[in-house]
Amino acid sequence: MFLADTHNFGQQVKRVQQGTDALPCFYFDKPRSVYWEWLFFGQTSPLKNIFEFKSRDPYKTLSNYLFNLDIEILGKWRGRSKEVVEWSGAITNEHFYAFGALIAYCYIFGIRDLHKQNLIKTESHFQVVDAEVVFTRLILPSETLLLPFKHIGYELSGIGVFANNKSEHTLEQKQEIIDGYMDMFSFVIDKKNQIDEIFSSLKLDSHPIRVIIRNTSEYKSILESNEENILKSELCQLSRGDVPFYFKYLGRSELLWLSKINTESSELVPDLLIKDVDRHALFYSIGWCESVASERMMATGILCLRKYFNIKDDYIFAIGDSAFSVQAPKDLK
Amino acid sequence: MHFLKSNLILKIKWLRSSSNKGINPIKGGYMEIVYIDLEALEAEAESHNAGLSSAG
Repeated sequence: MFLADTHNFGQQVKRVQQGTDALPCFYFDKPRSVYWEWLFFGQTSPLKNIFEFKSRDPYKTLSNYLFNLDIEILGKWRGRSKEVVEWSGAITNEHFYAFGALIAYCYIFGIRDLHKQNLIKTESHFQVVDAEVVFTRLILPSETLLLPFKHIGYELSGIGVFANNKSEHTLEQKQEIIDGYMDMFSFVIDKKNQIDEIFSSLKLDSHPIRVIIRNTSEYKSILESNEENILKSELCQLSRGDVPFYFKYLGRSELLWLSKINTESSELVPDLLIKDVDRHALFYSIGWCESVASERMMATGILCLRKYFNIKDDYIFAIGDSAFSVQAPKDLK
Repeated sequence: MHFLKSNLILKIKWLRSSSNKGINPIKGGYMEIVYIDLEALEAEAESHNAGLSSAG
């Protein structure tokens, strides 16, 4: 019944059954904010209509690959999400295309921690089912963890749902990922004013955004070592049996944690962590997309994918009345 | 030498054709080269925490 780690005084995600045994329906009861899952992946998200735009499959829109979660927000620190049932069929090229679109979407909106356990296979795509870390200013798409990053390889990163290593991908599959990335990114650039209008109409700054200051796996050994830079609040949470949980509110600098069940306390961030903490939960008065979703960022992602998959092709994309050709200097004649 | 390590994008400003809304690379187009040092960005990204909640 209990799933995942314990946070904030022993609370855990629980899988609960509704309906009858003959016709069961399962939900995940989450003792944390589900607001961000609702906003970025929920069936009733106000963003959904914007993404009702045809993808390369004429019968699908980009929103088909994102907004599928049945979310019920029960409070600031509690919500429910209907279980996404894993599809048992084979992976198709559409899954790769949708994965590329997801990379662009999460890169733009700073959605992180998308390891493969947070993705469920559906008939057309892999659905994100957990999103707690959002609005992070990312440098590279791999920081979403949809792609390998630092020491995290195929065994944990999102792309590990497809293969055990990148040599298993065909050229066609790699191209599908890049096509999906380019379609989604250029679409968001085109619609950035509409998306920012949606954001500005919502009270985004009243919902906690998780900040993972240390990989959870590191806590396994941290109590046994003489780890420097461990925060007192980390030790406090570990001693009560919790995996340390930190959060921020959009546009505010304080790093917060729950020192008591209903008490939010501020933690002084040491120099070693401040650079990373500061780029989380950012707010831009002129709008997130206006500030972040640039042609340069899109090109950076293409370069990153091109290098990762060892593809030498140039890529051309058009936005408005401009066209962009992405290539390496050595390719220039 | 620095740019040999870099990647780049060529931004080509194309004017829209007034007749068919297509893009016309001939009329009034210009080209701008923007360099992106991917290796420097990779190094900067690596300086941040991976942010992985899974215990593996």
